[in-house]
Amino acid sequence: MSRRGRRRDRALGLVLPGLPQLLAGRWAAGFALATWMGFAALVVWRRDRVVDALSGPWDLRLAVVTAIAGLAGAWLWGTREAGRASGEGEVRWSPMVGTFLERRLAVAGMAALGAICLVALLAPLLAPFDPGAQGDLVRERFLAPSLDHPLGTDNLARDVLSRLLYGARISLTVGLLAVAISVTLGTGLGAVAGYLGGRTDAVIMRFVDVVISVPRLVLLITIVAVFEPGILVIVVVLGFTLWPSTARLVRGEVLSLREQEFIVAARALGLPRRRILARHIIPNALGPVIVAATLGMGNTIVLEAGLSFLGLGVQAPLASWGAMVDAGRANLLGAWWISTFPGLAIVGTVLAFNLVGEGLRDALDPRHPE
Amino acid sequence: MIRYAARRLIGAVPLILGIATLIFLILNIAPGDPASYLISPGMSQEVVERIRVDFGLDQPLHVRYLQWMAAVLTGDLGHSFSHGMPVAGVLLAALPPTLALSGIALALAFAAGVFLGVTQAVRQHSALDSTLTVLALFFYSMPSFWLALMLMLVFSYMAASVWQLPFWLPASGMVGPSHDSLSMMGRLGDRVAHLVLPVTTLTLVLTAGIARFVRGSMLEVIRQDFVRTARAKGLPEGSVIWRHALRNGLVPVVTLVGLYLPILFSGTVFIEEVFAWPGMGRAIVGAIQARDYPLVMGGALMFSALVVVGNLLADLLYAAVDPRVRRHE
Repeated sequence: MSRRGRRRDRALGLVLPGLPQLLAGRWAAGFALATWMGFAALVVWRRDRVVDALSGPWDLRLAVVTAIAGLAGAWLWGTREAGRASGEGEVRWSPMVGTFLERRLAVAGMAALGAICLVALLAPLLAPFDPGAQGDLVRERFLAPSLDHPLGTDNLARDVLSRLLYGARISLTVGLLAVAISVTLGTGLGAVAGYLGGRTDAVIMRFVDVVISVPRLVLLITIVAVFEPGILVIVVVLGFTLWPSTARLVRGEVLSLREQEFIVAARALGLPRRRILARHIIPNALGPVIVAATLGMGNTIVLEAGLSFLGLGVQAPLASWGAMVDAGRANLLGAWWISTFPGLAIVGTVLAFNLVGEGLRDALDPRHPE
Repeated sequence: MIRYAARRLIGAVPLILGIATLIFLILNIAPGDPASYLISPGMSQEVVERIRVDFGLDQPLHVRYLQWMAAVLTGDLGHSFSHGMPVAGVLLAALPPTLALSGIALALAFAAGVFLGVTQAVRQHSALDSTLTVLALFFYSMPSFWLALMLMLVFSYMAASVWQLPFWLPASGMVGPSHDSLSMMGRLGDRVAHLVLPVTTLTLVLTAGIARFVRGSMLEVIRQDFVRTARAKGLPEGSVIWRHALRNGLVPVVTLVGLYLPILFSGTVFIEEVFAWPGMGRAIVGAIQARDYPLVMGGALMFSALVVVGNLLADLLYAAVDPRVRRHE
């Protein structure tokens, strides 16, 4: 290639990162280009809001930061690719990552999760309307999907699409925090029960047996009934009802690890119990926990939606997918879009978590069939 | 076998008592007074006191706990003020509809799940297998209350008023408004028609998980030597799979019944709420909205007791089909 051609390529690559490589037939660079153009289009399209963000609410500022970070990331990716000949500097992943990447469905789930997280972060830039703003109650209630309101309006003349985008935040936040609580409690107590055995084990596991015997939804609504429903209560309660199954899982893992030679060796070396647990046992028991936590995210998101559907979850001004499904119940035939789309959002998100969880199981748990 | 059964039965008693304790603690340790929802600002001090005495709230915590545990053991669960009758009466009236709905759905889900799981295992990696796997994961990810609304929309509302079909499925209740005036066969048909949508929803949600489990279990069995022996002695493939392999593949599935009961009842609560099915799930949701704590406690206890009893039955069934279990215990 001539020097002029190369310089032209480099200039082109600075404006449209990845385009030169794409023209040279390398598809991966096209992805960087598409990401860059997507973020650029968003920022240009919502330039008013981007300018407002300087003095705006924190979530709008966060959205703008996300958009700028996305722009910068895609640009760096695209331009860095430019200097690299094909095959050079390829990362060598561990075989686990390889197994995961072979599962096309798991990779699709991962991509979907990434997209959903982006939607949650970018909601203030993406949403066409304020999710809580009521329109004209006489003329703008129950509007069918149209160009102005792509997913229609609800019983209070609010834009369904905007509420849907904001709802992603509730589902993801509640799911993430609740699963974090349950993994921390469940791993800690399960490992202690399994390693110490004896009376400690008996006390913890009898409590686990009791909690697991109450159907989780019944336990949830009973607890929520005595507290004022709110997002914090929901998170704590969901975490509290999930940890026993994690504890049972971890205990099983620890029981089989405890007898293995490297633990016996650690004990023979005189390491303190706390150190053996924290450094040798728990890290080795984490594989199944990660799988269970990913699958638990899906389960927890469905339950949060269910509680909100029953009116016992996230309360009114906040847009929760479950509450949106409930809002459409009264006029299901006349305004099917109010219930249908939030439900699809739940299915999509939960499916993505389950696909990723399945892929992780294949990658992390060699004993599992296939 | 009888000794094993007796031991399991005795083991279930402390579990039930533990559950009763947990439920008591949840409803009594929480901040705020359960009676405060019944007290309005205009009430005189006398009336407030009487309400507190009526609910036993003037007693200290440990006395209330002992009263509650005694009540659990005698089956007298107190008075439901939203229904104006004893809690036990409300729950006993709501039990048959719940058992009918969840029992039929569980049976259908296991039948369909076993059939699909075996079919998938036999044709592992085929197009049918991967399609069914994805489909199962799709239904597994679906909130039951939303699926219920969608089926209701299509097969009841739209069938009746948009497409004006001659037949559509009823969307709420156990019987239609004209039930009493129908003939014997008409009544039966009416009941079956009312069952279709709730049972279908519950079955669809449950089948997915069961099929996935059966598939995995069968894949392990099919690789074993005795299956090869069965083939080698010239048995037809259908007999090898459905008679020899399935019997062994089903053993772990029996424990799955026990594991599925909490999930089943969680689903039942939603289904009953959406389809106005007069069962225990609807009773407990109504009780929470009415702040009827005695009924909430009784309902939660009843649901948990069903899980414990179901688990017990599954364990006994497991011991019956797999002699190794009783010998090891």
